Amino acid sequence: MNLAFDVLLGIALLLCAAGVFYSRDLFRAVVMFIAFGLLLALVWVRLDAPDLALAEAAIGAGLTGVLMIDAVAHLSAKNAHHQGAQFDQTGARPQLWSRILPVFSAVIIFILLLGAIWWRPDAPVSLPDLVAESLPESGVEHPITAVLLNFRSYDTLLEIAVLLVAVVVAMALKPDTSEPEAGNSKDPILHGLSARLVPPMLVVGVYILWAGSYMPGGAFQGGAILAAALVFLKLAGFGIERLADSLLRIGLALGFIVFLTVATSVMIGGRPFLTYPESVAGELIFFIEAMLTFSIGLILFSLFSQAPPPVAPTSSLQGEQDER
Amino acid sequence: MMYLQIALICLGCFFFIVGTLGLLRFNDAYSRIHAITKADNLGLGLLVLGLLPSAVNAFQGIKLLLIWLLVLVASATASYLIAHYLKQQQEGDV
Repeated sequence: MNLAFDVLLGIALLLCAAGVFYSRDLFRAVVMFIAFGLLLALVWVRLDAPDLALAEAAIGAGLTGVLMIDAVAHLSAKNAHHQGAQFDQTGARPQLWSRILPVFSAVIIFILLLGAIWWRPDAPVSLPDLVAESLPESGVEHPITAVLLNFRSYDTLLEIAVLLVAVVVAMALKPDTSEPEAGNSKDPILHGLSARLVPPMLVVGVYILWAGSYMPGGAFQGGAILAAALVFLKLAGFGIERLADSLLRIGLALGFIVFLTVATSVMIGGRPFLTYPESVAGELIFFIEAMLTFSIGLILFSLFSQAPPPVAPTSSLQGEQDER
Repeated sequence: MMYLQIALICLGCFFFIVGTLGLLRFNDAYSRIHAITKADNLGLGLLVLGLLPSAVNAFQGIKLLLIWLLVLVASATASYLIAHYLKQQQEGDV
């Protein structure tokens, strides 16, 4: 029974992926991509990785979907603006080599991956056992959080740095046009729904952050939900992105600053970079995660809100569907 | 109790299948919205009702009901927005 479900899920995932690549219509491809992300989240659940499933559903399907729909709306608005023609990609036939090259490299990578699976070396140490063994020293009870924020916190530090750089670049690329007028899509129903739905979304975001210390959850998932709430507010016509520009910039960098400060300040006590004293490890991790959640939420939202306003306000309708 | 659950879940699945069929076969966006809201509202509601007796504790049951409620609100608003946008566009064309 479970096998049948898994096979169906796998087939549906492949069909969705094919749909993303082969659909002529960009908007359809984006919708397929969102469906692909949701199915992928289900796959992660089936593989017993609820953390990844949460992140995939919130970031991969939800926020990336919003960004892509926004991009498609920009593209079509731009095209309609320039030539009054429907956007289509059937213009130039790709050269022969530009088809052979990807196929060739894909086949090579496939063979290499097969080989990697086939001649898999025996793991010298069992990493799950190692994590479970040193879990009491980490300060948290959930192994994923322990790995992300303690044992391998270097990766997380770099991740937040990459996100910060990305949003700085996005802000730098923003054309210096006049601010988009707030409330261009002030729909009474959407407005009322967001007013009632955003508080529970914020509660869920904080809950997921808090839950991260003993069960699946954590900063990235919580931050994604926070960002979703902010995107929702913006789409509903609340002009929140203009509320506090300088505060926003501090908030964007806050997570990285706090993380780096904690990471370096432990060196004063003679410890190596990024190791927490065991007695306060749990508190430090939670503090860092809370700041990270705040910053990740703002960063993901800024990636969306820093985009130049569309020529025609078409994106406000379509993005809303991803909030559930 | 189990037979009741099975019946409810099967009925819920039936509504999902019918709604999806309508989404694929109807040729008008308004009719499609009409079809898919049946799947969202009734189908999911029946599924949740069918799963409720299997909930381990009260919290799980409340969470299930909350999921249904949130989907109800979100799908109703999304359908309204799509229909509203469509209507605006049609009026703009005329």
